[in-house]
Amino acid sequence: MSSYLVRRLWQMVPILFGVSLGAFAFLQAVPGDPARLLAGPDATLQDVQLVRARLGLDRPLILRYVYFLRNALVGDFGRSFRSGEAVAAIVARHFGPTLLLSVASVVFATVTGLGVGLLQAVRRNTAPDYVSTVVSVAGISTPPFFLGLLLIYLLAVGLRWFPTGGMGTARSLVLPALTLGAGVAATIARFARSSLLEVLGEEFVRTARAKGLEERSVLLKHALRNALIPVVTMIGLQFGFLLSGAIVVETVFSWPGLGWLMVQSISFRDYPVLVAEILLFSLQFLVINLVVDLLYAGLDPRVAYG
Amino acid sequence: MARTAVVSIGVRPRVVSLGRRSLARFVRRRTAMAGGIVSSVFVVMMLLGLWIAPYSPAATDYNRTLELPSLAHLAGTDDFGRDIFSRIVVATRYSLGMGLGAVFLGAALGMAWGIASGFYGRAFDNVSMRIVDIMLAFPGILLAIVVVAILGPGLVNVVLAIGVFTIPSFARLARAPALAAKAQEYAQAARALGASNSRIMGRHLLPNVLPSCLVYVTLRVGTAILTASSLSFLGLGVQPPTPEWGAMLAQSRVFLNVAPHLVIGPGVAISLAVLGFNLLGDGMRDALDPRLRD
Amino acid sequence: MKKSVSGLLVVGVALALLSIGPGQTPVRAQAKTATVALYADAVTLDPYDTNDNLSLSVERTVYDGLVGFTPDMKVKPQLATSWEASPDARVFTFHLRRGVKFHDGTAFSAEAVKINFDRVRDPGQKLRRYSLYEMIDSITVVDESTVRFTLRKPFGAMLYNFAHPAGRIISPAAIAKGGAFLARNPVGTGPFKFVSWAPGREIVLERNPEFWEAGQPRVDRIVFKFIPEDASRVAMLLSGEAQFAFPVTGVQADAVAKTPDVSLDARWSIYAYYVALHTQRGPFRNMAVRQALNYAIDKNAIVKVVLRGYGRALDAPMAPGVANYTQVQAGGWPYDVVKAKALLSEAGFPNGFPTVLWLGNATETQRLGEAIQQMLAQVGVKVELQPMEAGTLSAVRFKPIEDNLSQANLAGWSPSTGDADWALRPLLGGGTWPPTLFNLAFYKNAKVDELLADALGTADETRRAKDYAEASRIVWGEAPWIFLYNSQNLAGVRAGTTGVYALGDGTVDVREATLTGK
Repeated sequence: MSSYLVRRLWQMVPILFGVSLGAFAFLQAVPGDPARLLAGPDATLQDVQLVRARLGLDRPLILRYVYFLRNALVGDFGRSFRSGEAVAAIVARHFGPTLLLSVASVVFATVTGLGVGLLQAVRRNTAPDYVSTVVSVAGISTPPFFLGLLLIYLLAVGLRWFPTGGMGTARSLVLPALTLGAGVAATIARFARSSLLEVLGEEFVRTARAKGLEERSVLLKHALRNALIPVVTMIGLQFGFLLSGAIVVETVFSWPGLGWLMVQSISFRDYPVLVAEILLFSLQFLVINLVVDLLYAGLDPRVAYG
Repeated sequence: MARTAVVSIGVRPRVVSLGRRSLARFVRRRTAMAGGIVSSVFVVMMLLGLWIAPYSPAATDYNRTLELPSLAHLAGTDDFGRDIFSRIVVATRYSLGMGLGAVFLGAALGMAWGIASGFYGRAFDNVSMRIVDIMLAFPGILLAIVVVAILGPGLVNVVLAIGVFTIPSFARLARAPALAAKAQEYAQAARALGASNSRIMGRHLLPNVLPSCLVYVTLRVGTAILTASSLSFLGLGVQPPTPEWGAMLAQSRVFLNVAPHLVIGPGVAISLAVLGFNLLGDGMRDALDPRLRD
Repeated sequence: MKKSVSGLLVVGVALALLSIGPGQTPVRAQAKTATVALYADAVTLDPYDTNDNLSLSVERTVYDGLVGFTPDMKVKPQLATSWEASPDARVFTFHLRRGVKFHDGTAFSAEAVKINFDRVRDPGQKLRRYSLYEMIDSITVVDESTVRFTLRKPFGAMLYNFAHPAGRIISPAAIAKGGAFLARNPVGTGPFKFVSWAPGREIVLERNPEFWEAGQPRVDRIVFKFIPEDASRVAMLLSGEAQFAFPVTGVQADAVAKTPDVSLDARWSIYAYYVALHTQRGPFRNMAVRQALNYAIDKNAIVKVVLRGYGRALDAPMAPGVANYTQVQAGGWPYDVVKAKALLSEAGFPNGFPTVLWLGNATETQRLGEAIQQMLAQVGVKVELQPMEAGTLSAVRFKPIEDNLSQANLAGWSPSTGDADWALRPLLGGGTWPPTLFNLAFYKNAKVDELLADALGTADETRRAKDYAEASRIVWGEAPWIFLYNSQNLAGVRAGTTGVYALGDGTVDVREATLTGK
């Protein structure tokens, strides 16, 4: 198990290297001049050139990449074009809010999703199944910004139960987490339903039933545990996507997370911050994949790593 | 010719009988039927929208702006005095066309990728799947922003942008069945008989990959429509004045508390269409999966 | 294994909750806090390195300049009580307020003024506002409270450069700590002291009890919140979480005005909106074509539909609120489709022509583009709209003429100095074609250039006004732009809040914020 872990971790190095190279090349392909954007439209050419020199953009691309690699190896990701702050500090500051929001959304989505999925699988092809199927699909089919604005006007402006946006007390977390989690909950519900149905049709469940076990125990002990495997993958994947910053939801709720940072960095062509964010997202994704694989081993005795 | 005929015989009858039973199962599931009907209505609207719409979607009337729904204007008029109902109807061809176009594009490229990866295996498989991992890790919206930024705004470019970030999930999906099919006897036989690589991939692996991918296509159409609306929210969607649900919704969002009828129409259209395609996809998945009992 | 998953989640939540940190509990008690919801975060708090309205708005609260602007963009005294300019606009002398202290306790003096402007005009500092002050040749401390600036060449608009919100006076002790410190830790003489800045969230300021102006400041705290989404920002005002929200879109204006306890504050901006036509290439080389397009646009309908009435047609190449503005044509360029068609026919385009309009991708901008597109279609000019993301748009616009593919550009401009020079020269001067500045029309007229130079060479305001009036008339007739409108700045204010307003240039002034009632 530990040698497996070491191998998997080791494999991440070339991938991250590839991502950094890709990100550098990729950002160059996007039209936009950070110096002009930073100096503003009413800056003279002279001001723009001063800014360009200050950002180090007057050096060739290759050189910039080599410097970047050299510094990144010792944990220095450079300074933001926009604010001049250390990139690592900026990214760290916006990671917390995104983590909080993602965890809250995933918890909400998992609880609701699994509950609904279980209900659907057990009451298959009955009214509750149809109704909850339609409701959960409606959850997926509403554009998040629309759902967010609806919630703001209904629950924050109308009833004043929650703040309209921003990050503050625990209450401020509710609406963004609901908005972000709605789609995920629906996805999990649909996944759980089909996965449960699949498992319920299998031999060992029939055997368990034939042995005269109580339906409840069949469901919870045998079926759910096995059905969870693909659902865990799905939750892991979704969590990964959420961690890459829910750009739209963070914009609607003025949530100062990584998505917000990304929008801002794109509009200023803040290359150092963007490269660091892309690297972070890739790392998160790799780590989540690894955790999901390890969870498999925990959930399914048939899977073993050596 | 003879060679492949021999090989194919083993497959075809199975597919046919599977199809018949699937259809029966599909029809029995009411939500799936509902999904099928809703999707068909939208497809009809997509094809015939221009004839169904009572007004030109671009005709402005600055003296009749923000009117509430009436007999003359079924869904009211927008801030330019245009008939919202007509715009929603005509928008079907853009929204749905865009969704279908993007997903077919992504599916075609992704399937080719996944099949090739499964077929060639070894280092090629390893490297190409790592690239897929990286693409999956890359925030899709960022990818779309870059594509639109480089290529400029417009319907086709939005399709490309969404298509590109649909590729990796299809590549992943296609790889596993391709891998399994490659090991099957008939594929081995075809190879032994000297069929070219592309022929084996096209004639033998593709049919095995198609069913699950087809299901996924219907599921992804909804995602694509939603992504288009998110792009519009970020100002990267289709060019105005193209009527497109996501763009209509995003551009009228400031009217939410002022003239809600501007927002409700396109919102309902998106939800219904995505709902329809998702239910259809669910039904297809249930129907095609022989392990599911009724 | 399942247990460890939930354990992991708990740790995650705990970590994330920690990261919210203290100081988030809203300050209630008796302290009077004015919460101001704006549309974006500040970039820096070093005024000489600032060019965005958000940063300028915050800086204006912490800092004072030698001179500042009144709400209608007139120059008023701040740290300077009076001033003189030499007739040739080369020597400017300021008499300073006595007994003023910086927030760090050090004293304000003529020496401090010299240190500030010496810093910005040093190219080695690489500050973004270098050009505003680079024409200063020397700065003399005449005595403790008198300072004299001598320019390398006459510059008639210099007083406006001093009033520009970038020209604030920073504590020399803070300057000594370097640019990176200043960007995050502003130390000035203004009515409010800096407390904290949580990027993406808020900037908090508290009252400066030693402020030089009697009776000010009137609230204990100012909190700037950054809410990018228009609908969310208005929601924050309506729910009572903010006392002031800016901007409010025209669409939301009536809803805001109708809500009890909330009112709409509409003030004329100094923004001019226009479509710059590439005068060196294609059909727009022909003056008759450019004039035809001006006839083809119904400015009043645009104001009514896109701005919901909160604007007026341009009647000169700059907004009436700009210093040294002179009206050219009352009511704006007339709307006359017949004349437009006739002019197009004469110019050889009886059936119109296709063209491409570049514009930003904000919802309001796109709506404006749609209206223009629809109106020009009436005279056969088929406009393709190309909305672009800000970074891309700037990149393609600032290409030199050889590589610049633009045909028509939808743009808005507010001269940050509030003066006619910065309203005309960067947009229409012969020496300001991209990439140098923002002359997107690639317009060049020798007579206009001569008038602009003459106006800069004198401190005689009457002569300057005459020069700018003449230049405006020429530009108006040659129509390098489609002259659109001048908009109002719309803000939402909760009942009981006064003294907070948006200035004509789009910055916000909260120095005199007052809260009564609740």
